[in-house]
Amino acid sequence: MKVQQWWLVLLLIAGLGIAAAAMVARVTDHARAARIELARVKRTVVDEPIRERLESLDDQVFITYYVSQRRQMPSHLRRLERDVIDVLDAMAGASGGRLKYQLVDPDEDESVAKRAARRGAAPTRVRTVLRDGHSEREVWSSLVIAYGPRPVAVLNGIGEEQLRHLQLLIVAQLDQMDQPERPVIALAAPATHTAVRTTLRASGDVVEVDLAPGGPPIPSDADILFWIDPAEGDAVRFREIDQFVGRGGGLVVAGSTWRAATSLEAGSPLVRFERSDGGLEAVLARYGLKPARGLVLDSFMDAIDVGGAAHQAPFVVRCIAPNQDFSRMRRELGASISFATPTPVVPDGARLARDGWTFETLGSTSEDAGLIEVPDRPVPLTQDGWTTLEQAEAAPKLPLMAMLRPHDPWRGSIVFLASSTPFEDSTDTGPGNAQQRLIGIIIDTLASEQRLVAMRAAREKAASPLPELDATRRLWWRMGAIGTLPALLLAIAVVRRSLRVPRPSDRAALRLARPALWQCRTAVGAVVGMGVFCIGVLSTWIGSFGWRADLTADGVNRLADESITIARSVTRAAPVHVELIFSDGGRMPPRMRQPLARAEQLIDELRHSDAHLDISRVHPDDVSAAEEAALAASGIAPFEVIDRDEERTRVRSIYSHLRLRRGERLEVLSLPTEASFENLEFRLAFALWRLETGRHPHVALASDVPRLTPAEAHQFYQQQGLIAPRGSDVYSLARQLLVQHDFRVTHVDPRTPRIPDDADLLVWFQPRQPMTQMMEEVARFLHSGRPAVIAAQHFNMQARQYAGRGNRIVYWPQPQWPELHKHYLPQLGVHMDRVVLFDDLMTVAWSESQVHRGSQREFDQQVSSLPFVIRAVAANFAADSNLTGGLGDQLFQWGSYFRLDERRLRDMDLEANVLITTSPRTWSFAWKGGFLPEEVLEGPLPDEAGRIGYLGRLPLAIMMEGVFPLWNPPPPPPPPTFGGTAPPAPEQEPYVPLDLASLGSGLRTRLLLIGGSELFKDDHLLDEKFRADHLLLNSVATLALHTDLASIAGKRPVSRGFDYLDPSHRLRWRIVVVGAVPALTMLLWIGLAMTRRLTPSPFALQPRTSSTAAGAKGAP
Amino acid sequence: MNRIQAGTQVGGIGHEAGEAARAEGDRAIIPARGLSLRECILGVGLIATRELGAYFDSSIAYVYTIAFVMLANAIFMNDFFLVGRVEMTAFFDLAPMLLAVFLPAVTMRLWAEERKTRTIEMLLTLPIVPLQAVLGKFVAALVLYALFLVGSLPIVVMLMALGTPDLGMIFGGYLGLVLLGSMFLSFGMCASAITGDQIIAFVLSSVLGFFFVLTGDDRVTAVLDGMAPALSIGTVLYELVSVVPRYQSFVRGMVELSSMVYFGLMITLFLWINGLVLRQVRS
Repeated sequence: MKVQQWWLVLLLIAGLGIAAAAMVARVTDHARAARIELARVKRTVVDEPIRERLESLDDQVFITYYVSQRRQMPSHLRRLERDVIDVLDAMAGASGGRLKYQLVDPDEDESVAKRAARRGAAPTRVRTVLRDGHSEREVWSSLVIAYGPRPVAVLNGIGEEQLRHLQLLIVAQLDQMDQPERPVIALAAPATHTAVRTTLRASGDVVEVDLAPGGPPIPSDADILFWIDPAEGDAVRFREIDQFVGRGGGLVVAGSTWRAATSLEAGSPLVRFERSDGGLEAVLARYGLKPARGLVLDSFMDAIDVGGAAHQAPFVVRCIAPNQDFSRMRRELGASISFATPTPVVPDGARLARDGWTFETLGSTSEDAGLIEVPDRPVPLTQDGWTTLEQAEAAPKLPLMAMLRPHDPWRGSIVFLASSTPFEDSTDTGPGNAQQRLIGIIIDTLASEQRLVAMRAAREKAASPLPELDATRRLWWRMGAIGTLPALLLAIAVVRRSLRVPRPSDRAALRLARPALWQCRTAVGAVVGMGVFCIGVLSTWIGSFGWRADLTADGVNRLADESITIARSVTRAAPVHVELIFSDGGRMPPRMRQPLARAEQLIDELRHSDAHLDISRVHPDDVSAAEEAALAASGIAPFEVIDRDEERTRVRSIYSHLRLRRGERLEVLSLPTEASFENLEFRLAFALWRLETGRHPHVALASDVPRLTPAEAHQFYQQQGLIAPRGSDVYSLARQLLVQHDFRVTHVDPRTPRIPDDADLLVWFQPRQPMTQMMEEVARFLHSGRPAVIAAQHFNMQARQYAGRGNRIVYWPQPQWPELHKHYLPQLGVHMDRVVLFDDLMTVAWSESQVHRGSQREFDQQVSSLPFVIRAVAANFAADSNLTGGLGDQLFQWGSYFRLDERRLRDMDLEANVLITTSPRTWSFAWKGGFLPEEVLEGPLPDEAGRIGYLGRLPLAIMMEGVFPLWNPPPPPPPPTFGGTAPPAPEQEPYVPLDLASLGSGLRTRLLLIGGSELFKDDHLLDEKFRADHLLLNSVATLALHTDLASIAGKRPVSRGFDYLDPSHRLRWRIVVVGAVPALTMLLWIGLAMTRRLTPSPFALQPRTSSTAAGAKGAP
Repeated sequence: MNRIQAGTQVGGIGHEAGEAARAEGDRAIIPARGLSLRECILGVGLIATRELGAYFDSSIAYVYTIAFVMLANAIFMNDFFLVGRVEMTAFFDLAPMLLAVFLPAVTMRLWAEERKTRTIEMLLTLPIVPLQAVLGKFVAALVLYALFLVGSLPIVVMLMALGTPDLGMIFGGYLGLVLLGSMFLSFGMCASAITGDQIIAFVLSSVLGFFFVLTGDDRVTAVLDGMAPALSIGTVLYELVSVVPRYQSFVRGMVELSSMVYFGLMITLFLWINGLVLRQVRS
């Protein structure tokens, strides 16, 4: 047989063998008898306790598994049906005929889907990858359990995670149906809280716990933990609580960082604020939250009793029903509740997204709330004292009650209350009072029946947690795990070598060779170790000189020319003293050390660029009390940072500041986190500019809170006699971002707009009806030559599931009523069409799905990947604008586009430059009401003439420039008349929206229009993939600062996306990238092999013979 | 006097060596030490050609190249269209881990096989100093590694067709990969020379490769720091030993003298040790 034939036969045999093995594996896969499960929790083998439970069932159990067909399932769920059947089969077999099951595919028949929905089953959205693109699918995987005459129970969204302990889950559900259990409530609260204990006992079995370090562990059967006024926790406690939440336990934390003490001196009531001795900050930091700094004051306040008289105290904030939103809980609170010296929580959006949490505000302060520095001395509690709200920095809608909902359904939820007042005895504790209602709602939500069942199952399957070990024991275990076997093998080798008796002839050679060999290897090891260390030291030392070249196109790794220019200009007349006030490296958290080193390098580079900077270091950890007070006087106080190394949580107090001084002027840059170093070059240049000019740019930020539509308010609240929530502040991170970048920021309430006279820029997030008053102010602001940013969109898309529609997901565009398609902009020549926009260039984003089960609404977090989740890619950004410099792709979720009327713009002498556009594959739907038709999600619908076409690239952000006229709001509509003849309307002049006469007195400025506001909300602002904070900072810097600073603000490394590519092109590129070089290599191989047959190898150095081993070893 | 007749045919070394040496005319006698640069390059080239022949006459070069390119490019392409960004960062982030496995597979045979087949004695009797042999083999391995990298060029072509990638940053990434790979090759060769066994050489150099890479991982650094906070072992290893911060500066499009010095000295150190070991073997 020739060699080629032999290879062919071998390949054939191998192929057949593999195919046969695959077939056998597939066949045996179906045979449960051919399977052995070794794990403690088994999927398809029924343990004795479960068998006994199933055999003792009182009634017949019938389980219906609603599941989509295998081909409908995404790749990772293709095996699900078979695996669930295996489990059900095993349980049915073990039940002695008491448990039966059936499989139903609701997609087969609409009536089946509706029946499934009526029983409570619901499909879920899952993300899939379709031809290298994002896609989503709706699939069913729900178990409906009927147990005798009892109401049916439903387990929705059965997936791989539930499969591991599905048996336990079903049994726990049967137990709950048989004999409903009360939740076990663990309570850690000061002994003075007696009323809360009584209230809790009414809802469950209360177990007192002590969460102080060294206390007994949390009971293993606890379902919910109330931690009131959290004391200082330690690593053991935090770990224990993490495990508790991880297995589904609900956690309620109530506390404040301040407490008020009142007194009566000379007949005048005084209040003194003291810091609470607690571990609240550590608890918050553990879950990606920060306490808001300062003292909250609100016009909605409660009175406190001092010396027998009631005094209104704005630090006792009253959270009224319109400022509450309990729609994600089991029911509405519907009662006011007070919070004394509350500590509102501020979410870290990026961290929460990373850790799999969704932040939801349950209750907030009013729109008239503000923050002040906490007074360090007793202050009188009088009307005209310090408590007047005018002194406070506007901070509306601060969260007083918030919930963290997990993306993982097995984890528990966490509720934070900004103060423990709602649980204090002084709160009205009578029957039906707010405290009782609040506790009832929390328990019903966090320890719902479904949750209790899941927890019972999770408790059974949970692996035993590791015991707490000290550092030494951990080290020993680590060394044991890593080194035992290697040490053993080494010992064996040494013993064997010492016991081996060499042959006499080898002895002499060994005697000579062994020491030489050992010496050689030892020497090599030593040289390598020393060499590597020395090279490391040397290169680090060389690195301190900062010699480097930057290869990037945008020069992101070197100082911007603009920074150097500013630094030289500022320091020309007088030097700038730069003080580096950082704690010692050892105290700094590891994650901050590298940004800190880069910051020092940056300042050093600036100094070497002919800027007259005097750099000095202050070691704040070693300063005296007087020096510390001096630092505090200039606004430099230590930060508390929390980090984890191994199992320990450490709370460190660190200084991380830069102080710049030029003459009498002083600027302090705070750098509390690693993220705060990101735009340090801009912040430094900006600080230098402020030192030179003495100016401090002022941004007026107007934002309205999201509200329900009148229809929603009526359906979900007013019909039930409840007050619809007014919404909460969803732009707090955007406000913080600007403050962190050293802008002065003032909140403007669009309902009662008062834009500060010295504002340099106005930012208006999501105008909402009624907006005419604010629009008039905006026009006036623009007319005065000051720039503005307006970010708005027409709709927020809501995914909804109704039982009457078979729980299939339908999409309802919730109107946001920005009214920009009516007022001012159309008259200027810019139209924001009120249509739903779609783009084939889409991405994936988390969104909420409302599942309507009867009158009850439930909210599920699900991923969405449909064409209204628009991805604006950097390839479609204007290349010549500072605003889009250093800007990566942006997420325009449910965004709107602008249409330019060139003629009108020309008439108005306005320029409009498009900065960001969609891809060319866009289409729209003129929504008038109802749910979106399914076909519109697939692509453009045919127009009246039957033509189908895409709309092409549509502007998502435009910059207008010119003189803006004043605007006249439309006259109010005539009052409605009921019956009879309406009186004749008084003669009115026709409405003229624009005051064109004002153009002569106006000044030239710019207006930035952004067709999306969702991207600036707290949930999305810091999204790692789509950094809307970069867009916001660039926008503000471009409009409020001069060109050089704007250019520096946009200097950062970013990832830029490419335009839409159709699936066939994606496939072609994939083939080229993965296959081209291997194919060419293969051709080369074959070509050379064939050439070698005819001529010697081109690499052959001599004719190969059997004696030339070096040549021979290369022969094929 | 330690002198060798240059034109002598020895073992597997081809007649080109003799030709080259004969072309030197009156300098036919080449001292083992004190070689001129040209002679040194000739010797290195000779060994490199021989090694390349071994790679390309056998299936080594083809199998390694096809395997590496398919694996690296396929992993990169898996998410490329979903992520949708005109950049190669994902490729450059992935490469060190792949190289920690693939390059030891290239270098493990370089000296160990010579020892096994006892051609090392012949090699060391050639009119070259050990360092020339080391450099020759290093250059050959580097050429093969360059072929691996050339296999990723279709990615660059694709990025340029789809958008405007930052070519400076990509060039920096490739430069970093060349230096990182050279370092891995140098200690892989060193391990092959010291151990004399292919499997041990592979495992040893893979472990060393992973050590250099993993000491740059944040999680490893945090755990090591946490074991002895006062010593900050993790940070010390990260800053002084790990290859990651140096490599990452190239990936960010920055060529730092300190990184160049680090890689240059590391490569030199391991090649020098390799030469020392060979000298020890010869003596």
